[in-house]
Amino acid sequence: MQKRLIALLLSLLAGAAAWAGDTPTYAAFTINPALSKGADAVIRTEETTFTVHSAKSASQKIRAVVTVLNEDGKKHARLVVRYDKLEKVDFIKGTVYDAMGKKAGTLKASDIKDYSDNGEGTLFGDNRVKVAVLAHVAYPYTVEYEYQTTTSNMLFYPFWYPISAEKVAVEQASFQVNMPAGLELRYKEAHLPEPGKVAQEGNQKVYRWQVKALAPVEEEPYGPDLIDMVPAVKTAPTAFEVEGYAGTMQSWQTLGEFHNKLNQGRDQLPEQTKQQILALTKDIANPKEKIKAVYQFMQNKTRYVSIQLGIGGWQPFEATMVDSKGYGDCKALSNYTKALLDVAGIPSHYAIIYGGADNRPVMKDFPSRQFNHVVLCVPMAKDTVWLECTSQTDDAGYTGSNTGDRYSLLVTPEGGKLVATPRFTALDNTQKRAVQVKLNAQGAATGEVFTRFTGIQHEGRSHIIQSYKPDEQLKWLYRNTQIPAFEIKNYQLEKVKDEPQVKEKLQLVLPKLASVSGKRLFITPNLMNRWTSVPAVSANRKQDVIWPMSFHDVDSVEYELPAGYKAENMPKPVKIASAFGEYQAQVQIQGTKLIYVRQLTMHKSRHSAEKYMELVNFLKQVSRADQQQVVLAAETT
Amino acid sequence: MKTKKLLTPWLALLWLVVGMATPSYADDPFKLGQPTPEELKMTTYAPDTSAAAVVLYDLGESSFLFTKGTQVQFRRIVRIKILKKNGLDQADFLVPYYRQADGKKEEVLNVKGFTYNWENGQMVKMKLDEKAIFDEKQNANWYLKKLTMPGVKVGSVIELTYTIKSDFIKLLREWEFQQTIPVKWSEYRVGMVPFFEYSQVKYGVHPFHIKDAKIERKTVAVTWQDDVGITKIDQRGSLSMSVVQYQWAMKDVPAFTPEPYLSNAKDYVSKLEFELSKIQYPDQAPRFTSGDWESFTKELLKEEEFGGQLANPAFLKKIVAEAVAGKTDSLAKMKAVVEYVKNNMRWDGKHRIYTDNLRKAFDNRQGSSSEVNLLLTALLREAGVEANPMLVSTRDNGRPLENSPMISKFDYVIACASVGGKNYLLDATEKDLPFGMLPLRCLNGKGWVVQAPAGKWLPLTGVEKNMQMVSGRLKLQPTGEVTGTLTENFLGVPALRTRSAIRAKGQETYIKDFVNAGPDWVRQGVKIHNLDNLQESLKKEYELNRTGDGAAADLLYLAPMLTHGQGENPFKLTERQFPIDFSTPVDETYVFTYDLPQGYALEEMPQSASITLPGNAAKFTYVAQMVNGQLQVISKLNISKTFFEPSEYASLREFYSRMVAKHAEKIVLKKKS
Repeated sequence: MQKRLIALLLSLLAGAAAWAGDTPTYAAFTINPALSKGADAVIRTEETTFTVHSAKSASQKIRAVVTVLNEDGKKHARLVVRYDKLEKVDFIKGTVYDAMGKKAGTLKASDIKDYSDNGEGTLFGDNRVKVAVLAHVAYPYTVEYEYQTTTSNMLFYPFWYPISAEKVAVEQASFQVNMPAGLELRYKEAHLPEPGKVAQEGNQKVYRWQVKALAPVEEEPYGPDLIDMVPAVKTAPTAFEVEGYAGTMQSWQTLGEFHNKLNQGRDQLPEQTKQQILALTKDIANPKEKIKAVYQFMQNKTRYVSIQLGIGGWQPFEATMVDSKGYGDCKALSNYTKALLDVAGIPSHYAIIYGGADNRPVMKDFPSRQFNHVVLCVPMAKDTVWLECTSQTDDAGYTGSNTGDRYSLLVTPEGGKLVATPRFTALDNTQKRAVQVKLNAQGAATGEVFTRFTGIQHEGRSHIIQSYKPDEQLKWLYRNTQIPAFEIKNYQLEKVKDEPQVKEKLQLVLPKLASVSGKRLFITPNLMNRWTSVPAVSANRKQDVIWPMSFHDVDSVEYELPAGYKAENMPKPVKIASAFGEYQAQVQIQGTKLIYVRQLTMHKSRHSAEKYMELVNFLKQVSRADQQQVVLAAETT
Repeated sequence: MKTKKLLTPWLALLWLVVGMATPSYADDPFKLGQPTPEELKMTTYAPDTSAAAVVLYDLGESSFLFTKGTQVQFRRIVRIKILKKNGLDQADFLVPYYRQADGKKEEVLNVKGFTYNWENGQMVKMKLDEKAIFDEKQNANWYLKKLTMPGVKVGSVIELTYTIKSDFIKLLREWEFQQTIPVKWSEYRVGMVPFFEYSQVKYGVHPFHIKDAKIERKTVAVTWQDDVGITKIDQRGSLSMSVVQYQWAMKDVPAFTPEPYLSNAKDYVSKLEFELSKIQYPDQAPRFTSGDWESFTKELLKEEEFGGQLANPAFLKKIVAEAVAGKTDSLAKMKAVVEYVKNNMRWDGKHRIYTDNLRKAFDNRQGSSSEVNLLLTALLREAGVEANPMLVSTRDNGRPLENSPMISKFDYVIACASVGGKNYLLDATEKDLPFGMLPLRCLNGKGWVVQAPAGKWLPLTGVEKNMQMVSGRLKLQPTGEVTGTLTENFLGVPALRTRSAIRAKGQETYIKDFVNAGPDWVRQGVKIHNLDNLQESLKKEYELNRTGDGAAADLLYLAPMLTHGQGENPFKLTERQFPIDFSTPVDETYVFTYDLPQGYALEEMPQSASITLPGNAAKFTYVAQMVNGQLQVISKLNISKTFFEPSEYASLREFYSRMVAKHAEKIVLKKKS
């Protein structure tokens, strides 16, 4: 009864609010329940206005009103304003309203916290952030924020996406860009219900986008990132300037020219270093060996230290500085290595790229700064060599999960060129394993395991070889070996020189390899490569299905059986193929031996939503087959 | 924290030695700029050939200054050898320092660094460039000096020195003898002046090589202010006093590497920590800031930001009346007050001891552990229940120190109430905590009840029973199909964990994820009971199903623990250096009853077993038997001891290994011919 009364009261109030007309109300109950279903917070309105004053500066004003429905929604009402040496915060305002939309407080300067905001790997940078949390004692409540920043770094125009997380609904959001005469806006729309509108208003060309009533978006297993599913507008400049460096972004070619300007004259080297390089390379005929020698010279002389200040976020330190201090970031070290290679008579290109295993694809048709890293590209007659100059230990030419299989912007004397880095197939990323097991009648065993890892599958072990001490390596192996009970008696890890390959040898004691029940032994013949995770069944999959990585695993395990046992139950051979990959496994008795062979090959690929159940069923069958047991029974004589 | 007036006029009255004397300091054992050729040429560190780098010398010196109020000066000289490429990051240094809005601060001064390389048979020295020293403001109070050494490569020796002048004498700088790389020699020197006493605590197991204290007569420069009519003038002089020169040194300290199942690794690093316990200026009564437990307690109760906050609870009167309306007995009142605070105060996630304004926190309905539970204490008192604040060191903060009172070793406050001679430890920060139960973070040894006159230690255990009980009735078909109904019951910490997991995901998503039980099993019709009824056990009920093969089999194999078998030994490593901390006792029971298919006979059944660790620290029992024509499997695990020493690791590991083996055993049924 009480509930009904409140509902009645609320509807009366809603009526009153509607009557009031021109004063907007942010009372929580005015949200359409259909829209807020499953949401922790609702963006009532969000208005982003980006005004370009000239090629040298622009301001961005954001006003947002967010209703927080519960504790989990609190984070969506957090105000986070990033700034740096080139971008200043003009003002921040904030107000909080209670459930009824009545003002309950305003943001005070002392509520705004200011922190440094440099990434983990950065020694020093000028990125900072202002953070404010406005909250009310009882849910739901509503906060309103407004702030403006002005930037002189015109390399970046806004990327607008009103839904930035799961469980957030949007009542309405708009994005406006004001361009002065003579400057062109470039933009790219995604998942918009309707395209933007352009109008000439006085001196300005005004672009407007709007979205209304967006329900929360849910991420699905093996689905695309949220950011690739939500309405978004990406914008970029044509002509721009930053710290006195002017450029245009019309094409990849002109963006490359801009970087040529930034890098110009920064490749000078001291005479002594030049002489060292010449001496080092003069007797090497093979150009690939020359590259390797220069790369190793750089690796031994320098180390990675990230210092990002102002234009230094995009412009490399001078090669002379790297030479004298022995350190630099990705830009500085790539630029330095390029200078060294020039001395050796080998031309190379500064290559701007997105570094990271998440491999965010480059929008090829939208030339803009979509990168976070720099490597060096050395074009060769046959295949190009890519150099990761921030590593003291990498092999020359290895790209892998950090920079492989994507596009890079090469900065060549003729300007920018978008070029693909090496792609990998399943056969590049392998794990091939041979195991010999000796089993006794008590179910205990010893095992010798030899595994060869290549490509992306070698990276984890290559890393621990480089940076872990033996006791830490052993702990890592214990953590990463999937056997119910085992002991590592001995191990050996070896990185194969100049190859993306690691060899691993393990000597194992397997005290409970077989489960003993009376006269029977139960063995799961797939000793240490069992697939266990199967995504949940979903009847109405909405999004594409993405398998993220290609790989090829082969396991062969040979069990020397105790005398007097014969097979009572043997799993049948399994062979499964799907759009995502292929699997086969079989187990046989050969004399006193039990022989198990398994192969799993998966392909990096993207499929439509209806393929989802095929993936679930495939992984389910693989997982089931991997857990099948052989039953041995003691022969009764 | 209270501000302390440190330089009082006694200086002028008594301790003055007129004239300027040059302060005398002992010679530095390690001079900057003098690495030996051996150090430059060394390629490995013999005691640990895997070391990426080694600290050759590390010297810290703390002393007191009296020229700008009382300050503590800390000077450090460190020399590091880089041995491998993955040791290169030792050339980056971060020096945090603190500043307060009231002007009290720490300052980092005299930063100097050098890199030495051995090139062509001689030492080449490079100086740290001023431009490579950065100052970064982390937040309102914390700043960082960041610097990176030039010309560092494998083989380099680097040296760094810096000085920190601090206005905060309360915390004499700690010293870590052990680091993530091995340390050849580490030494800390402290010149203690007669006016201050510090409690000190040593952590870690590595022994001291030198532990020494010498009394030296010292003359130090002093500045103070004199009132001269309407203004003040600075006076300079010097002061002669007995200084106790402490020296601690360790040599050949191995690198520190943490292990899993360790609540706080920091507790095991070899280090020394200090906290001010007594201030006594000549001719003045001593002021105890902690000292013994009694004065520690008294001081806290007087402390404005702690006990003081409980002194004036007028604003609580109305609230209390409202919260306990209709309740007559103390227990009911206590429960009502805890409920009230849980529903009306939101914990901000912060671990705090002090609050500057309890009232303000209440007005905002939000606060730290201090604010939530001091409010709880105040309300309980107002309701006529005997209650006191209790200091806790949470599990992440390290074990509590029972022999030396150091406020900095605590980080959290709960309430300790007493009704009918029984103590109740109460924490109102978590909505899912049943009455009388403490959150996991608080279960860390003992806590200190801040109660006049002397205070006391009480063990940090809730009144709750920790239990997990799973039972099921199942039916096995000739095809191998298994169907049945399972009930899972949780009490105490397991219930808290499950409730928190359900809340974190939302009930709908939690059930969706729970239904997916791996490739073989399907869970259906999941029901969750008592999610909000905290005093009752949390219950999950569902149907469990495994599809069988198409046809009936001659032999049926059944893993009777279903999805509840302990599949892996959590203790994989064969050896362990540090203790294992389970935090709470464990009580897990599984009872499964099977209807077996007609026409099949029991061919094989796991033998019953019982494994016990000494002193009943842990016990596992397993029974498989036929009862009234049905198969019954019971598995019980009890771990009554929560803290195992490294010496007990091997038997604990073996205990788990046997349980894993038992849970893997199968039941075999054979078709009757």
